[in-house]
Amino acid sequence: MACILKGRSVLVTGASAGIGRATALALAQAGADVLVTGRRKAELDEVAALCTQAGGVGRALRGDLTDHGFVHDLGQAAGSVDILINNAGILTYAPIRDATVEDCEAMFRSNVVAAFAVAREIALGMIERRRGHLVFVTSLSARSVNPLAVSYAATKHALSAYAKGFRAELKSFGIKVTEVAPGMVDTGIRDGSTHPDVLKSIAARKFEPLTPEDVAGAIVYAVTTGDGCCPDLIELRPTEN
Amino acid sequence: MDMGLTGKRALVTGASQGIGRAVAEALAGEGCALQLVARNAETLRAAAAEISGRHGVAVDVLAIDLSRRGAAKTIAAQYADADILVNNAGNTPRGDILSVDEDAWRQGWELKVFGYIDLTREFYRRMQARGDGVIVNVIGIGAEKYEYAYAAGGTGNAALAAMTRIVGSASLDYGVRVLGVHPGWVETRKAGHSLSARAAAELGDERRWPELVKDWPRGRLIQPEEVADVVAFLASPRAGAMSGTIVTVDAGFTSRGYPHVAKRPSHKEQA
Repeated sequence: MACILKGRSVLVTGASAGIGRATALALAQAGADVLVTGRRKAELDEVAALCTQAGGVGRALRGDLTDHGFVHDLGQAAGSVDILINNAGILTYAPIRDATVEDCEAMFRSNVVAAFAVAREIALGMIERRRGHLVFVTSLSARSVNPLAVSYAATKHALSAYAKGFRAELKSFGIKVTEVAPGMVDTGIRDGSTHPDVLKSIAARKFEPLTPEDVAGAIVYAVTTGDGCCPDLIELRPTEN
Repeated sequence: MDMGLTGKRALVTGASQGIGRAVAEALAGEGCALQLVARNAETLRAAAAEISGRHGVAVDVLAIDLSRRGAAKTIAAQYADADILVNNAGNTPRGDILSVDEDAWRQGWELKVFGYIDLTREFYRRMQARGDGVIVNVIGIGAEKYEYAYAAGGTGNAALAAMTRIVGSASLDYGVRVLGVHPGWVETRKAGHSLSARAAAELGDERRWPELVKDWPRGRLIQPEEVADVVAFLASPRAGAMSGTIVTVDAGFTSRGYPHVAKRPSHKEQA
């Protein structure tokens, strides 16, 4: 395990916290060179330092993926990267009657448009090199739709369609595309959702959510499969859910 | 002489080759931690590994296209803490005003003219807030010794020389020094290309390029390290009273108005 990704380079988006952070660390532990990006500089620098300590090479580039220019910079910084973990996303829970159009737009900008922009930017080089692996982190909300997270589910349905679309179009270039769809994970992504209905619903939850490390484990599995095997879709469900 | 550069964080653009690479080596040799910027991620990483292996300093890299509007902001967000900024990345096309078309001219200026200005603005703002910092712009003698066949480069360099003097004229009132270096013809891949092309055109053989420089000072090109040492000095507190000025590193080329063939005494004559 320790060096299974030695010499491989990975770009992880949304890596300052949560699933992105755990995935960056897990990939670094497997020996990968990891470039992490996110909006929070201090957290990001810490993740990069931990990646280096873990046995990989960690580098950080702070920026906002909804800025198309930054996506271009990120592609340049990533160089001939082997693996993209397309993970960055935002989430605002609210019942439909209180959900704002602004929140909906922000989620679509981050979870769909920015995710497409990053995947495309990185895929361009992979197409040239005729190899690479794109991992889209979606959600079980890409299949079923739960109350209070309707717009989020809509974005994850769209992102899932992108994962399938990239797979369909890029497989002939030898590029793997994997969709990893976790159920509820306890991360800071929900911190901005303070609607009373949301807080009540979270308090009433009867199962233990997944951990970021659970998802990271699935991603490490996906990117360490043999050349001839492409895991299309990995769904992760909390045991008691 | 202790240069007083140990522990400083220096950001160098165009650092994977030529003068930028030599500046990175010189600053690393003085104990600076480096933040290296260039277009190609792979060559940059290789350069970083060599430099940090040789000098034992921390070397961080960022591959980025500096000609893109907004790139300076990405760099500044990443390396807001740089004590020293060396603007060096440039690739302005040679040619007279008729042969450099609008697109090529603008593209060249996006990288060197606006690239320097945008990075100077971003880092000057932060250095001013801290009350400390040095910006060294590697410009070029084209700013002073006009060459008909270097229209875009010479004009752009003149603008950067003016920018350096304008900002540097008052920057030290805020604790920041802004300086320039005008290298002459330096032995880099870029200079090699243009001299080979001239030799092919004028002498019929690109390998005869050394004949083109035999009337130049010392009969040869400047070495990147000779420029880098001056940049390192200007960036150091030893040059604490210098700002808003530009140092020419050309072995006398600019001051030499007329061709001069040096008669170098041979061993026999000396004896």
